Amino acid sequence: MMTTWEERISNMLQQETLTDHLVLFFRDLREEGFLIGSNEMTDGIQALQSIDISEYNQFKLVLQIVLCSTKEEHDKFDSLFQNFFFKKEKEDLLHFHSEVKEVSTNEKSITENNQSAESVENPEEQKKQSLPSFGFHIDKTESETDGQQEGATLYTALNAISKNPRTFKVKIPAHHFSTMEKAAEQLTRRFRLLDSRRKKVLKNGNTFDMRRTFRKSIQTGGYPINPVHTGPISEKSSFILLCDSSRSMATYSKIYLQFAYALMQYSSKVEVFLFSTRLRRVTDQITTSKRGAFPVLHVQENEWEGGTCIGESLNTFVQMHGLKMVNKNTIVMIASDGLDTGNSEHLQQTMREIRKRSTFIIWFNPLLNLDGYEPTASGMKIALPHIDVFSHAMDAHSFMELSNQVKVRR
Amino acid sequence: VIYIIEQIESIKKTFQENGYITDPSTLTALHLIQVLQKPLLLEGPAGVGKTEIAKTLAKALDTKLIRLQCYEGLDVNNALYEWNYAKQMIYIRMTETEHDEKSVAEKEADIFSDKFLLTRPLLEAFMEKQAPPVLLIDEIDRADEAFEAFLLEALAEFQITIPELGTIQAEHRPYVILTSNRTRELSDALRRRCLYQWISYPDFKKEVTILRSRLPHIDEALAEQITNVMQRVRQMTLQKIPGVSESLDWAEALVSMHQRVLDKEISKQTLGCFIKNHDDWEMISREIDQGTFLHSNQ
Repeated sequence: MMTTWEERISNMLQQETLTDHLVLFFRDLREEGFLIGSNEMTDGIQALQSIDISEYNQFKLVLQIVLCSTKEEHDKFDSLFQNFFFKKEKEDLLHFHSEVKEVSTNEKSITENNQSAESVENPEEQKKQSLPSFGFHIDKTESETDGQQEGATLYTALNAISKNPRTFKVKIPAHHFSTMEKAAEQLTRRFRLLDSRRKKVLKNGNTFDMRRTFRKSIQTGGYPINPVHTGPISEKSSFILLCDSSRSMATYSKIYLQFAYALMQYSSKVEVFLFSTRLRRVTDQITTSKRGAFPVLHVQENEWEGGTCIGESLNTFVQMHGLKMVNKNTIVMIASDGLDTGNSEHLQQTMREIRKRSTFIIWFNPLLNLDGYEPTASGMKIALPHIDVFSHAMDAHSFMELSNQVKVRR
Repeated sequence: VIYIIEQIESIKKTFQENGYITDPSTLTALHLIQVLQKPLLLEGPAGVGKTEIAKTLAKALDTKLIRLQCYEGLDVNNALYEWNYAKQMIYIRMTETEHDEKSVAEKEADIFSDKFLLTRPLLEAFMEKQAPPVLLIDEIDRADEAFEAFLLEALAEFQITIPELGTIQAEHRPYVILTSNRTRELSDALRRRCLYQWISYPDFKKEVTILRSRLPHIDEALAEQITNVMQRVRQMTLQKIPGVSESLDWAEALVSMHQRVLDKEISKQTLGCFIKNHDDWEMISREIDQGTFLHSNQ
């Protein structure tokens, strides 16, 4: 590995293509949803200047630390790095070169005029001098990616070319979104929680706070000019959607994700997870939609249209996030057809745990719309005793119906 | 170009001397804090040593550790500064009796001077004169979003404006380490201003080294046996997975009981060191009774 990497990096330096490679790599990462702007790119280059770039591990680690900002990005960085630097076809880069040359002819001529006539023999120096062109290249590529987000599910170009594990782009549908928003708003209103017994300072609070008033009077020379009032803290319900993204559910999952996106417009406490044979948190991808566009999720092959291990996935959720996210104000929504290939004991145990911690559980099963459907699938049979509402909702109108039926007061 | 290897080796050595076993990834992150002068955001499960990294870094750099523990409701008054109103009041009353010639402006300047300023962790870090301190902002995910927004401003410029005193620029840029347990999603703006490092559970070899480094008197076989069991426990479907701190607690308990080897009886007696949930307790107890718990896979 080391020799290969050394050869590659040496080639890139000799052909003066390291900067172009990096720009292209940054672009690929951005297409994968990484938060990379010009600052991160500059930091990446600056960090690379402080290390021995012929060391493969150092090179990768430095970029990983600078360019990743979540665990999900951290986890997939390795494979993206490998794919780009070891498997990507040369033609991709050549294409990129011609693309850049066309656009930046003018800029290059200006740069050349400004630079002194002496040639730069040191590749590192060469790399540093080519840095100012970064922002320009990326702006061009960004406008291209916007135009590419057509269709509900697309394969990325990178994966189609290099035959690597596929990455899916799952676009949240926009149709009937206004109805879905109404349903979401209605649902948030149907969950009314009692105010907490804890109190906080409120302008229009109903209790006079003697201690705080005295404390505050120190500022006004001992005269209690500004009385302080307190009132109960109002509790807000939080929502967690655990959405089955296995092959049998993939068609419906986008609708449930749309519902979660609609919920986010009315509640700041919404968490979304996808599960098939493993669990994946996608909240950040749904919340970071650009310029009001509908979010596009980037998921790996084994996270979309794969098998189903409901018990194991939900158990991972309880282990990793359950203690922190699920509490007495939480409404847990699980969207799955209950067709499980995993261990049923895990599901039993996990459902009991979620039941114990949360206030309300809704299970969405699109198969309920089929005539004569009986919840006989093993996963469904185990989960049923723990569920408050077993819903057939699978479009905006049925979500509206659901939100009119559900009512929780606590 | 400063090559990283020497730098990293030096950090590794000082960390080892201070009893903290790291991996190349964390070492590189610590190196980059110095190179890029950016805060480092550490995320990972509870008990894997996120906070400990900041503590050890302070020891390694022989500098002050300033800790800001975040919680719901944390505000600027508790994080940055507050005027000591009581002391100001006493001072005003005392000066009222004296017939000094001070003008109103002079009196005001007196009242809002350094001696009446209560410095909180952030300001303390900015005002540190000796050397750049390590500023640990612990469990940032517990703080409110409003505080996170305030923090962005402070960490971007490393300067703070106090209306009565003016702008205070950090004497030395502190090494900032933020930790999060992911109880809520942090804002993209904050993430973009930080370097990122995910700390996960250590592998068998690293955990044995940690135990032996932190508990020099532990029997090697016992350390391996504990680690072996803990590695297996982390693969089980428990509600609360024990971290390294639980391994250390358990090992310390066994060492204090002069145990040289793990057996059924002692495992049951010391279960509370690493199991903190009733359902998990029952599952592990069952495994101990069945004799499968101490079965070695290594």
